[in-house]
Amino acid sequence: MTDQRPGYGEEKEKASKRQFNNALAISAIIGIIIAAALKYAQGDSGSIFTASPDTMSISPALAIGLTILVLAGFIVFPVLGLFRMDELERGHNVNASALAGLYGITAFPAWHLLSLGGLLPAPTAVGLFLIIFCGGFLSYLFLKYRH
Amino acid sequence: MKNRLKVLRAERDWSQAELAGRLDVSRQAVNAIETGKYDPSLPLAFKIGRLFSQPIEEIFDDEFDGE
Repeated sequence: MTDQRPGYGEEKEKASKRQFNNALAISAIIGIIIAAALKYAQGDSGSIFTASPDTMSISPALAIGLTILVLAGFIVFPVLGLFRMDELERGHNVNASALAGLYGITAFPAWHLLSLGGLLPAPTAVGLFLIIFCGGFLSYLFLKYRH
Repeated sequence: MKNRLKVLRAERDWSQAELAGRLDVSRQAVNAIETGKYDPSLPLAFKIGRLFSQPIEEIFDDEFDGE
């Protein structure tokens, strides 16, 4: 902050944007690696969202490797990112994550009750995941662009 | 909360990105503060004060009328 060179801030802002784009690219690469590995292991039916243990199986080593990538993509990477982003962005992310958790703990009993009443099929893990993930993402977009 | 950030920035002929870089925040954060959509944390407010060599209350106005 003591640096008075003209353009000092612009340079830092550009470097920060570059870092963000790199992080996004690494996330995309992790996703592509997981999808490609499943496809390679199982052919056309290889999708983490539609696969069931009855119809699809992968080797233990591949399972452990992909699980590590999933943990990195969904926990380690985002948490590290929280420490690097500015306070406004961090606020959006933390609030969206809190809302996503709320959707999760509400979705199961609500869906289960509706299924008991015959209005919906029984809750599924993938369905709950999608509600939490999409709900969290939409909440983030709302918080970011609501003004 | 009102503030004079835009004026102070303009006096130095800085873009929002320039100020953002000097404050270690995003350009969106600077824009949100300038337009009054976001109130900065106390540490960031102090940082802004130090950058412009002015006390916080000279930059930010909480519109408290003393009642």
